Amino acid sequence: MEKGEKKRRLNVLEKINPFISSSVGDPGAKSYPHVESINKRSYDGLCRLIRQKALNPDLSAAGLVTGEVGEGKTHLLGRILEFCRLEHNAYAFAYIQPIEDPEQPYRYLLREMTTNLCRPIHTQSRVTFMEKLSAKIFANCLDSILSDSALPDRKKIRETLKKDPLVLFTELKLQQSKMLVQVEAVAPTMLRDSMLRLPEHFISVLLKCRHRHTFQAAMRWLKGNLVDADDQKLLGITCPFNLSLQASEQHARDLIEAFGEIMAFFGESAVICFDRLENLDDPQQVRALGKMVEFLVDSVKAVVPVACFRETAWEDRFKIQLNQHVVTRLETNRFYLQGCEPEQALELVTSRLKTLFGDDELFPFEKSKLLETFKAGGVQSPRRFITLANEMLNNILGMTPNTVSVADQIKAEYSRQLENVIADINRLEPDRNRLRRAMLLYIESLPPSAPYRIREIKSLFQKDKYTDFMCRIVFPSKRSINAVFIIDTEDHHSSVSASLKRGIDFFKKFPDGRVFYIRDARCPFPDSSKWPETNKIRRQFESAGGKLLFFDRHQAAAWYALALLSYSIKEGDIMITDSYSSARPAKWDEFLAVIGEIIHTKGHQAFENFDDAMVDKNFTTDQSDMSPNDREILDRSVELLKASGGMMMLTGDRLIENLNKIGFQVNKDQVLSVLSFYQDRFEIITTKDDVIVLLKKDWLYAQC
Amino acid sequence: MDKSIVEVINQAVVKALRKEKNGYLNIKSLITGFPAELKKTLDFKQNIRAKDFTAKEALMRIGPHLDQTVLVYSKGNSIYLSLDSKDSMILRKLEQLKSFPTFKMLRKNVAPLLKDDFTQALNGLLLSGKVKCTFKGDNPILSLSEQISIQPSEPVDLIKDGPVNPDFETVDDPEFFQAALNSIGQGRRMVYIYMVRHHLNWSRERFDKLIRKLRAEYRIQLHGGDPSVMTEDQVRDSFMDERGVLHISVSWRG
Repeated sequence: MEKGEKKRRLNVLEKINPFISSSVGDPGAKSYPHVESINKRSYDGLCRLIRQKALNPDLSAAGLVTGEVGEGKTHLLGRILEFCRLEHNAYAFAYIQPIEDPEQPYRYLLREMTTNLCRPIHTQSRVTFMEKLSAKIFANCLDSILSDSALPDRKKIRETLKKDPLVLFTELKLQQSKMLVQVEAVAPTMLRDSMLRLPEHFISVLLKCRHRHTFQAAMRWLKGNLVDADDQKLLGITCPFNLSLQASEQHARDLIEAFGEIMAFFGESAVICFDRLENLDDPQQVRALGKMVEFLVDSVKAVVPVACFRETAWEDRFKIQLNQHVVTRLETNRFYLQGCEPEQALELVTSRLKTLFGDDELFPFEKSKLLETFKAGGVQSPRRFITLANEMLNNILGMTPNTVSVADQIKAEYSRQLENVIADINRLEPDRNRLRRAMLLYIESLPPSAPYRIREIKSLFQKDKYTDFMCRIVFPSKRSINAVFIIDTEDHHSSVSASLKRGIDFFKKFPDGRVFYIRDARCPFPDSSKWPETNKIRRQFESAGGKLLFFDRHQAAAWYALALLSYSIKEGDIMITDSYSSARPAKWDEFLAVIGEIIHTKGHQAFENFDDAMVDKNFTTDQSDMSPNDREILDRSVELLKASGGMMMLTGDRLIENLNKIGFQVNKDQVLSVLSFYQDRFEIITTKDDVIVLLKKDWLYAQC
Repeated sequence: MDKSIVEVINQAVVKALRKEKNGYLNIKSLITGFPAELKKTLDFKQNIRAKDFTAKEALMRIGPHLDQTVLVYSKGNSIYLSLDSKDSMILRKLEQLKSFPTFKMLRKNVAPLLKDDFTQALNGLLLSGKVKCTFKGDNPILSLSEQISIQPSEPVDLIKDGPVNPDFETVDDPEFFQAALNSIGQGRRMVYIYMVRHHLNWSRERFDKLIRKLRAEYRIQLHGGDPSVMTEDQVRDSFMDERGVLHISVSWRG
């Protein structure tokens, strides 16, 4: 290679380091090329299993993938997703994040399945698997009505659909064809004659996904949500407005079975992948996973569930907690991730460099030196080799050792996660359980500088389906109030009204309490013309003191990103670097510290709005209940800061030193816990070794 | 559960089993022989007698404190604990018995094994050539094969008790290591490194040197894991490589 070319490549590598990322957050995200020989046996085995299931939809089969951190579980799922897309039949692929609410496994499964089926099969065309199913229904039923039809374009339509059913969704003329309206009318009866187990409205609602004006309502019904009178009118169906938990779970089971039935009928099949299962903390959640897997294997046609576990966790924990039926079903087709040999690791490095330079050169590495380093560690995880290559590249480029703090690295991971969520938020359905997880994470790890404290958190959602959790908010005056959080993603007005009524009832019991009604704004809250009664209750709720928090897409994304990052951290998927020589998974405690110290202190709009709602200015400025000692600390701190010079700021240590000098024997935590409640007058900035306390000038001027 | 209590009880059980000539102990005898404070920890009275509790009750109380090196054998109403696999138990007994036993005699001497398990394990040993069967008059008798009996002690025994000098490396170390993985793993591919270390009871230097050797020969693979669910001692007894990376479990590649 010429000298100039070498220099050019080094310049490119300084800007774009192909080894900087060693984990796959999402199997659907664009990633580096696969090295076929790594985990080939597992990949081939899974492909065989999927093909076999497609040929025989009644086959009871599941797959289990086990491997340790960094051995490529999620990467393997990415390859399976690619296989599903590239294979002639284009199998459907669903990626299921860990379940949060173990009470509703089938509703959760249905919702995630439907959402995944509505994602484009290929990135080039925007056609979804759901549309493919509808197109097949049309193509199938068309023949039977053609003889009765006198429409002139029938021959053309028949030929076109026979050739490629998906043109139904890409050619406007076809979409508007009267003949298709006729098919829509007869298809439900025709197909239910062939598939007796199909629920009454399933086919007709599925076909309604074709029209823009009925799409949303159809999706709500297909996800097992309650649909209101307007939606029912649009869809031309009648169904109950309210269902018990058991009934809605049964309804979800029926719909999942119907998807399996219809896929089997049209020779389609789907792979459902359960990943990040390390996050199932509660045995109930593990049992819920078991229920979903058992149901998919035993009762749903044309669907293969695949579960990925960390190997030691599977052996030590999950295998013991899961029902033996589930264990045997999963272990029948078990695939062990085999690690990566140094020679394969060379391929891995070459393939990543190729994405930048388009050839098979290993430059800037020397093959012998790279291989020697790799061989010293023997067979290792692909992630470990990528980390080694990254370290070696940094040495070659003469980059200084990593000085980015652990907290900043996790914060950067959070930002990346947030970007991904914002870029494709529709992939994440409004999810009450995930919002609850994120909120609990947030309030449980508040930093000392937060303007309130949270105590005595109690989960309520297992006892009452409308409320999520209760806690006590402690204000600076040491006065505390009861608060209840209601997170709602339901679309039906009766359910929304019931949630708001819970809030009103809470105020009857605790008049000085606080109620937060939280809603992902993607779940609409129509005005009085559509929901008169619900809006009346909403006004009652607000006048009783209830706080409404409607998260817009960006705010919701911030919360979902927090929950998703927590999954990755728990799974050991987020690698951080202490120095060049030690890359390791981020620890849970480090993550909690990040939520508290960085996200909260620096502020994201979603979290700041949340804090604003939590803090009641009447309470925060009320000093009447304050202890004399705290009041003295507050007043003396103001005096000391005023006397400190023009900037009116002191480091935490210096402030304590000065307080000690004037006779206050207090420590830093004590002082900060008092000052942090008065955000109107102090700004507390966390630095590497200490904090800086600033007296706000605008507050000072307001006192004059 | 307090991790230190778990370790203390587990260590007490392992120590008692190592001392035991037969290599196994009836769980009730084990409990009654415990020092008073361990009994108290397990919620047993200080002067408890074997007839005061059932073997199942004892297992319910002690089970959560035991790691995977301790194996549980259940036979009728009795429960036995041992560090030996079924094969090791038979080999140990064959080595101990002064005369060559018949099938029935040997089975009688390996009390914890059910008849079917005993037969299955013995068939495996006969097929592998570790045990041979000859006739004395009309009776078939069993003995250790020469290959095994000429050695000062059979590999599985070495693993169990550890060599006389834990610093003394032998050419058979890889075999001992593999046998330890099989014995602890009980069908699992990945085994915790700290368990293998405890099981072999070698010097740290000897163990780590062998790990590095086997790793460089691609005969084993080291894996990461979650140290936060382990005790400090378990983390310390895992394996830290020369780059400061902690490896928690190991699998045999052959």
